[in-house]
Amino acid sequence: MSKKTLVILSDCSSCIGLGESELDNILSLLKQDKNIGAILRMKPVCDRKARKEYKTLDVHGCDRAIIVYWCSMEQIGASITLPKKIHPSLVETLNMSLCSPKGKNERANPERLTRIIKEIAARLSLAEPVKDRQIKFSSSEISVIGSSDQAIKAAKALALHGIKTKLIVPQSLPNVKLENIEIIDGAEINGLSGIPGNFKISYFKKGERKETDAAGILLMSERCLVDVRPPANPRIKFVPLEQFEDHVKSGSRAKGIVFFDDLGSLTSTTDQSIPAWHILLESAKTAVTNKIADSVCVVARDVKASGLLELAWKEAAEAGVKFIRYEDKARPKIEKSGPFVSVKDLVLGESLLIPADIIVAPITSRPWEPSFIEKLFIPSDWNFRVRSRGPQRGLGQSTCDGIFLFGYSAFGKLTDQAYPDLGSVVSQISSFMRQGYHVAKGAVAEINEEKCSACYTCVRTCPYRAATMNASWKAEIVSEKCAGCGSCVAVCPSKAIELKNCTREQIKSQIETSLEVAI
Amino acid sequence: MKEVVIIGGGPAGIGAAETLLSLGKNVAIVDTAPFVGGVPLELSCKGDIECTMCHVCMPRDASSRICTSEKLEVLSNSSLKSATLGPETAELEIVTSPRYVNPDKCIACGKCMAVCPVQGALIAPPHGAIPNAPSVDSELCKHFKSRDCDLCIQICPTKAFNFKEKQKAAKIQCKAIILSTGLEPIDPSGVLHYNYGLLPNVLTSLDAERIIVKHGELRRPSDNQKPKKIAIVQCVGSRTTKGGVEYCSKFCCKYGLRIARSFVERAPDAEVDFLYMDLRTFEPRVEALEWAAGKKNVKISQGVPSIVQPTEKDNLLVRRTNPGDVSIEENEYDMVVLSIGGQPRPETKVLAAKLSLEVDSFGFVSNDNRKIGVFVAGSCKSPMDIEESFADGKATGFAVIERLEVNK
Ligand SMILES: Cc1cc2nc3c(=O)[nH]c(=O)nc-3n(C[C@H](O)[C@H](O)[C@H](O)COP(=O)(O)OP(=O)(O)OC[C@H]3O[C@@H](n4cnc5c(N)ncnc54)[C@H](O)[C@@H]3O)c2cc1C
Ligand code: SF4
Repeated sequence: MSKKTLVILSDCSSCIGLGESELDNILSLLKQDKNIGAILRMKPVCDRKARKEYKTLDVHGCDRAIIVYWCSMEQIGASITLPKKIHPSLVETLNMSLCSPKGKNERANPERLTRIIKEIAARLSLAEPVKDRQIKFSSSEISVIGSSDQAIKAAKALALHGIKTKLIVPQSLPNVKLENIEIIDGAEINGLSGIPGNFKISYFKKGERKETDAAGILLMSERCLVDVRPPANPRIKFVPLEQFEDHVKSGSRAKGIVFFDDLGSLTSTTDQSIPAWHILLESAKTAVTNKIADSVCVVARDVKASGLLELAWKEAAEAGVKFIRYEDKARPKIEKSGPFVSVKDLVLGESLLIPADIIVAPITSRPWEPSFIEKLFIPSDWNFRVRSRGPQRGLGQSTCDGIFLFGYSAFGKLTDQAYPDLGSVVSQISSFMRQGYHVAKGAVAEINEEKCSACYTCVRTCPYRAATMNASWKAEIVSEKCAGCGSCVAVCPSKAIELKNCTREQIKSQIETSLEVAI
Repeated sequence: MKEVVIIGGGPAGIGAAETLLSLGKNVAIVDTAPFVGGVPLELSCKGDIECTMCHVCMPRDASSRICTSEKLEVLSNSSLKSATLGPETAELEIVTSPRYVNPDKCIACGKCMAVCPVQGALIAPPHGAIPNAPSVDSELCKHFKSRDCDLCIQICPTKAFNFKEKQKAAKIQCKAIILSTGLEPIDPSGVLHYNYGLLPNVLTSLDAERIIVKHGELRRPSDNQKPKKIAIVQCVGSRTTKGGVEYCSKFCCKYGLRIARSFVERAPDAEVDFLYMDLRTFEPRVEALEWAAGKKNVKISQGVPSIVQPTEKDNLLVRRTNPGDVSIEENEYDMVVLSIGGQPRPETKVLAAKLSLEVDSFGFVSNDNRKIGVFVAGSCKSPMDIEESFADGKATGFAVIERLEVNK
C-alpha cells in the first residue's frame, strides 16, 4: 500500500513573499524526498472555485497530504475536501507563516519551510488513518444554569427557537411559570458529567439527589444574592434598581434618594460588579424630573462613562442629579443615627452627610465561586475562570463543546453590552442544537496505566477536561471529549500518555521545538 | 431572491452573516469598499508576544469561515441606490461599480501588483479580505488616462482583467435588511494645535497601524527610522466641541494602550508616554493597564497636549499641563500618535432615510424597523469596539432568524 504524501503548495505567492526561483528551489528539494509522492502548485485555498477543484485532483497514488498555505485562513485549509483516496485524518495543513521566525509579517524562509514539510511527510508516512466519530445527541434539551433575570431572558429566547429549555436556579421560584420552559428551582448543583450532547447534571433538591439530562449548558453569571440584604437602618428603604420604575409609579415622595453604583460598595464583598449605568442614570434623572425627592445623589466609586454613556452623565447632571465619587479605601457608610449616608468626597476631599430615606442599587452579578466551577468540572483556568475560546472570549464559547458562557461567567461587562452578547450566545446554541451530533476526534490521548502514578497533572492541565481519575487511581481520558491537543502528553511527568495519531497542532509544535533546538 | 441583505460588511456585518449562514440562510453583503471586512482590515495585530485581545483577527477569522459558503454573495464596490420596503419582502436596487478584475478568475498571484507603474492604481487585497483579488482604481490607472498601459493585462496568467467592465445595476429581493455601515475614522486636521498633516511625524493611530501592517513595526515617515520615544495622545477628535465629536468613542483608550504595549514589546529600549484625558478602558481584565504598571519605559499620565511643535530633525516638542499640580511639562518625542475616534459615516444618514430609519444629532441610527424587516447592527448605532460590534452583529443575525422563522 502506498504511503506517499501529496504536497499541495497553495500558490499565494503574493502573500508568501517568495520569489519564483525560491519556490522552484523548494520544489526541487522536496521532489527528492522519499516520503513525498507528488507536489502540486495550486490556486490559493481561499479561492472559492479552487476549493471545489481539489476534490477532483489527480493524487498520483498518494494517500496522505500536506496543504501548505500562507495566511491565517486556517479554517479553509483544514476544511478542504480532497479526493476520497486521501483520508481526512492524514491531511495536515501547514501555515507557512510558521516558517518565518518572526511571525506573520516576515518573509517565508525557504529552508525552514522545506525542512518542516519533510518532517511532516516523514511523520505522516508512519501514521495510520483514524476516524473522527459523530456521536448523536441523546438529549434535545439545553439547561440554563443561573439565577439572574438574564437567565430567564436567555431561557425565553431559546424556547422561542423551539429548543427545549430547562432553567436550573438555586432559589425557589414558586410563582414563576414560563411557557415551554421547565423550571427546576431550589436546586443546588452538585456535579456535571458526560460528553457534549449528552451531559448529566446532578443536583440536590430538598436534600434529595436528582439528575437531569442536557445536550448543552448555558452557564449564566451568578447573581449577587448576598448583597441584596436591605441596609441595617430600618428608617432607610432599599429599592433594587430594577424595581425603581414601580417605585416612581407608586408616587411616594422622599427627602433624599441615593443611588449606589453597586451594593458591593456597602458590603465590600464584590469589587468587580458592574452596574447597569444606563438604567441607573436614566432612573436618577426621572427621580429629579418627577420631583419624587428633594435631593438625588449618585454615589459611585468609578465613573464608567465610555461611549454615549458620557452624554447620559451630562444629561443627568444638567437635570440636577448630584454625583459624588469616593475612594475604594473610604467606602460610604450608612449612618445608624438617622436616614443618612456618610461619604468622603474624592474630589472635594470632605466628608459629606447625604439624606437618604431611599437607597437604590442594582443587583449585580459576579463570577462563580471557584468551588462551583470545580463541582461542575468544566474547563477553567488556574484562577478558576471558565476557559473560553481564544480572543473570542466575549462570545460565549467555552473550550468544551456544548458549554456556553454568558455574562460574568465569561468576563465582566456592562449590562448594555450584555444584551447583544445574549443574542450571539443564543444563536450559537441554536446552531449547535441543529447540528445534532458531537464530533469526537479520532486522534486522542491514551494512558498507559502501568506508568501512571496518579499525580493529577493531566487532570489539572487538560483544557477540555477530558482527563479524569478513575476508581482504581489511574488517569483516564474520556475519548469523546479529548481534542488531541497533546497538552497532557507534554506535562505528564511519568511519560505515561501517548497520542494515537498526531494532529496538526502537535506536529507544528513538535517540529517547532525540534527546529528551535537544531538551529 | 436573497433572504437577507447586509449593507456594510465590517465586523458587525460579518458577524450577522456568520449567524445567518450557519443557520442556512441566503445572504448578500453589499459594501462600498472594494473588500469586505470593514475598518479592521487596515489594523494590525497588537499581540506581539502574547495575545492582547485587540480582536482585530476576530472578523478576519470569521470571514475566512464564511467566504467559501455557497449561500453567500459578496457585492463589493456596490451601494444601495433605492429601496422599496414592504411588509413581507423588500426590493433593493444595488449599483455595482466595476472592479476590472474578475475575482472568480483571479488566483491572487500578485504578478500584476509587481508590474503596475502607478502607485495606488491597483489596490491589493488586505489580509483576510473578501474577495481575495485586487481592485483597479480607475482614477489613477494609466489605462483610463492615456490608454497606453496594459502591463497587468499582459502578465495576468488567468486573464482576469477586463477593462471594458461597466457599472451594473441589479434588483435584489429580500426578506430582511441589516444596516451595519459602522464608523469612519475622524480626521484630526480640525484639531489645529496638533498640527496633523503639517508635521510628518504626527500620525493618526490609523496611519501608525498602516505602517505597522506594512513594515511589521512602527517607523517614522520622515526618515523611515524606528522611533525611540513616542507619545500616544488620546481623545483626539472625540469629546470635544472643536474639530471633532462631542461623545467618547469608547474604543480608542483600549487600542491606544494596546498600541503602546505592542510598540515597546517590539522595541524594548524605546519609551512611550500615554497621555489621556480620562481612562475609559472598561473590562476588569484590561491587561494593558496591569502590564504597564510595572514598566519603566511606559508612562501613563493624565493631561493631553496643548500644543505639538516641530523641533530639529523632525522631532516634536509637546507641551502639556499636569492636571494634578497644574505644572507645565515639555517633552521631546520622535513621533506623536493621535488616537482618533470614530464618527458615523455621512452616507449612513442617506441610507437610513431610504430604509425609513431615524438618526440622532450625531448621525447614529437611533431605531430599527423590525416590523418590516429592517435591522441595524454594529457601530452605526453607538460607538462600539470590534468585539462588541461583532457580538451585536451576531445577535442581530439571530433577531433576523427570529423574524424569518418564528414570528412568521
Ligand atoms: C485607528 C483605529 C484602531 C482601532 N483599533 C481597534 C482595536 O484594536 N480593537 C478594537 O476592538 N477596535 C478597534 N477599533 C474600532 C473598530 O474599528 C470598530 O469598532 C469596528 O470596525 C466597528 O465595526 P462595524 O462593523 O460596526 O463598522 P466598520 O468596521 O466601520 O464597517 C462598516 C462597513 O460598511 C461599509 N460601508 C460604509 N458605508 C457604506 C454604504 N453606504 N454602503 C455599503 N457599505 C458601506 C464599509 O466599507 C465597511 O466595510 C479601531 C478603530 C480605529 C479607527
Ligand atoms: S475611549 Fe478614551 S480616548 Fe477615546 S474618546 Fe473615550 S476617553 Fe477619549
